[in-house]
Amino acid sequence: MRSRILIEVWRHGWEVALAAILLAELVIFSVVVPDFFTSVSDTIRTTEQVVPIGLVAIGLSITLLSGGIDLSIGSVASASAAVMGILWASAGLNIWLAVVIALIASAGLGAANGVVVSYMRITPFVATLGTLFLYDSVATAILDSRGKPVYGFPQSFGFLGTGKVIGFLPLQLLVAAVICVAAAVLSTHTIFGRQLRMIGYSPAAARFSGVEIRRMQISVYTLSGLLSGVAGVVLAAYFGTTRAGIGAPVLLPAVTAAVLGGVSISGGSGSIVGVGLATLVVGYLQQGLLVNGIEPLTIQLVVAGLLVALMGFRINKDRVRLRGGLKLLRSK
Amino acid sequence: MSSRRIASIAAPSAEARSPAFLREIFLLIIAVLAYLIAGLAVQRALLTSQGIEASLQEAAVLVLVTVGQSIVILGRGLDLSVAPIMGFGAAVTGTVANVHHLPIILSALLAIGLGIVFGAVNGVLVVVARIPPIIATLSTLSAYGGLLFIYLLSPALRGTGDNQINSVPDNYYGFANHALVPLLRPPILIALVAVILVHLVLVLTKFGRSVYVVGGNPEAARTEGLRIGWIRFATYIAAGVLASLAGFVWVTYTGFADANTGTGTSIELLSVAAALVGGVTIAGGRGTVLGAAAASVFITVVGTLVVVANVEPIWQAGVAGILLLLAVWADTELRERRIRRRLALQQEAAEHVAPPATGGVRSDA
Repeated sequence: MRSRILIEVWRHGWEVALAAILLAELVIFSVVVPDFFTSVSDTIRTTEQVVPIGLVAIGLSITLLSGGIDLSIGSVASASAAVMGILWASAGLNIWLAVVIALIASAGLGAANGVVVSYMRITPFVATLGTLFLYDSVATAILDSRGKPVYGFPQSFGFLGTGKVIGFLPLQLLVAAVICVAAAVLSTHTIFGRQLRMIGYSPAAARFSGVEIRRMQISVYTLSGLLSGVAGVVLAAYFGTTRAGIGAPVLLPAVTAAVLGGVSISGGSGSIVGVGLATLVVGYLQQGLLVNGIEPLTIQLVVAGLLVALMGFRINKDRVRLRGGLKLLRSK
Repeated sequence: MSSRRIASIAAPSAEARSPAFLREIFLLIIAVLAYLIAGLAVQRALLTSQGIEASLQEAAVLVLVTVGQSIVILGRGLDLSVAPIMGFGAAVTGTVANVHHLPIILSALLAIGLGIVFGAVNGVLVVVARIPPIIATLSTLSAYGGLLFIYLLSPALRGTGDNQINSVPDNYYGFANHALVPLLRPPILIALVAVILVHLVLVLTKFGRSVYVVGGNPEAARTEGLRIGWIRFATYIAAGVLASLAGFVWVTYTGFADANTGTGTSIELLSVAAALVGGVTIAGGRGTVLGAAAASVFITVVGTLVVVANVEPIWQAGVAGILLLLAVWADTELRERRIRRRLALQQEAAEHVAPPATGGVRSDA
């Protein structure tokens, strides 16, 4: 039994390492910063801004696992918030109905990415770079059609952004946790998940095994669009307003979280749980440094350094091990 | 190893370049037509030599950044950090101009040196640490942005308390905004020279050919014994230098720079889009900087049109996005059609020729 646990720990080495880093961060900050954690409530509140990034990072990771990438996530989030805001403010729709339509629209934008990738056969990086610009324009145009900012959402909607369940647990975090677990299960314990990794690892092998690659790609990007849409709605609820480009700043942190979480940029390997942990690692680091009075752009520098250091370590660790293995082989 | 050998490996890309020449002319013609229409229909001021010079000057910045980006992409890389490098070039140029009263030429050299340093860091991360380019330069995008912010806020480093550049001395401003001959202000000249020089280096020199080989066919580059690491390293330095120079150009003609210069307009993504619209393929090894430069001019003109037509400026991005998808899609379709036609021809030829004797040398046409 004990050896089985050890094997599991070894197999999930990166996630364990991330969890350890997270723990170390929390301990260090609570020692160094006097009122970093005055209560459990504050502990969790500091994660609020991190949740949209995590949601988007999960969608991005699914596309990365499939061997693609989705750069349009930030723009889809903006578009989702814009559609929702306009439907509520200008068309006078019920806010939750507006949310549902916005999510459907986001999924549609994602599906369009999928069609461009699978049927027009444009490289995912290029395809979603194009739609990044396009969707951003569309989102801004939708908002401009109103001429004034959208704000003053009903309280029940604001609750999604700032509300607490059972007194202290942010609803945002709960939503993100549920989605993270669902995505993790989807990517590891289902046929969809297996095919997902397969087309990411070797499209040719997947084709020969009868995987319908085009259909998979469309579902993958639809899923990514949907999650970005959720992130957009959460952002709007959190800020209490919908403005142009609300989702743009989440793109690069989301890529950071996905990569730091151990998802391979060339597809086929990585874990959603790792991405969730990495989002928290980066989020707490930022919060901790902010509370310490460090400038946001300096924090950006620190996070970039962390990313480079960890990536360099991960990549070259394998290289060193490989070289060692080759030496061993030659010596025999 | 002879340079002729490299030329022969790089030949497929040279062959693929011929239709791209049409693209450059096509892009420029449409850009000129659109510009003319905007000038005639909406704003006559665009058609004065002043107006044209101002528009070209604006294009010069994107052209410089895109040319650098194209070099990296041709070598199968990517540089997302060009935006803050441009910002840094602008901020440092503005500072040394205002505080240290440096002559223009020294400021330009300083900007180039800065670009070399930042490019070298990218090169080390990609070549030595082997971090995938997108991740490495994404990190330096953040890191350089952070450094730029720290630099701008530090009176100790800059010798002044203001945290942005609000003006440049008259000799700088006059230099950038005074045409040497009509239509040719120095920023435009710098961009033009950079484009031609880079193109000639890429097409005529052994190094330039090597960039195409490393990007288009790394296996061949390895078997040829090309110094792949050094070549890729050099491409990042080139991108850094050109981005920093773009910042220099920007601050001399606008007299303004702050922590958002470059990153604020997402020039890191726009330059990738422009390179791809211009026919450079994201996998590397195919395309020319001439095409990339033409596409940059085109995209800048679209931006001008959008402003003139009183549409939201964000539509420049939208048009760039659609253009990118269409251009790349057309490329893919055309290339595939060409390959299919060639295969059909080969098959036809094979049917007419008697099967070769067993053991004969198979020739790969």
